[in-house]
Amino acid sequence: MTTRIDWPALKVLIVEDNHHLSALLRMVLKTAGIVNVGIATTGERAIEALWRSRADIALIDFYMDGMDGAALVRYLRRDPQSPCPDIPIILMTGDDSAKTARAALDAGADNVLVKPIAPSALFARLARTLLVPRMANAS
Amino acid sequence: MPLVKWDPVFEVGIATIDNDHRLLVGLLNELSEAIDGAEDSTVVGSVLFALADYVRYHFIREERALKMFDDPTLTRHTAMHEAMRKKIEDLVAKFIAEPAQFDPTPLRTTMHTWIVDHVMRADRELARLACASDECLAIIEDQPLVDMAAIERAAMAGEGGG
Repeated sequence: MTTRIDWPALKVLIVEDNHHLSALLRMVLKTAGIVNVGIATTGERAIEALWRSRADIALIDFYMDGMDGAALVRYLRRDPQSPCPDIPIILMTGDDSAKTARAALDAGADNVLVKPIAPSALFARLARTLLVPRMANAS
Repeated sequence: MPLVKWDPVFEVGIATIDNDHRLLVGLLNELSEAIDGAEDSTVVGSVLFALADYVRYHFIREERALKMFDDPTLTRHTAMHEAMRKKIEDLVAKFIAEPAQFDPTPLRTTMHTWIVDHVMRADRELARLACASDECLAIIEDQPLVDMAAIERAAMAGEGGG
């Protein structure tokens, strides 16, 4: 069965300060054939990583020490120094409130993924975010 | 220190099945570390959801092959899958109802028993029968663990958030 997305060629950056969760996400992505996965533990390190190497999509934790996920998304989208203003972004949060989802989308995220994260939900969000343009997601 | 160290003795001789089992052992060890490290419910829950999804994906793969045989041993095998699915679904439901009160220890015990008992006996029997049939082996080997084409179709149909 052919796919529209070349999953094995996909480069994913995970920005997550919990090493259990980032290791689990890496393991889950591997089962979809995605082996090119970078991990950054802070917003600042994520920006450095994106300067060093492009990514096709970023999974960013909402709550992190220092620059939080929403601030990182705003920087990537709007700062003139941003290495990748158009990178597709999924914000991950343990807070399933509508207010947090709104804040994530207002910051510029394409999609929101609520923790705990099921692999099936992660794959669905990845596919949706990569296949459906942001303007369609926002409507 | 992992709860279960992968051992070649677990291998049933079919690469895709062995890889699935290796993944499940990896998740069991992640769960064990999360419990011992007193990780919060988003971490324990994510490992629990992963175990539930991959057990489901793995059973789908095995059951496609099982359907090719008319053997009472294999009917029992499917019933064992059903019992395991139910156990994990119950644990997921308990977690969703009260994540802060969730006790993951029974899940660790269930998965540990499953891996050293079911895999070593029932799956070895399945592998013995499957290896005798090229058609059956092809079904097991050709089917991806995660059907990304189906996930893409669902996403295009509007599922997957956004």
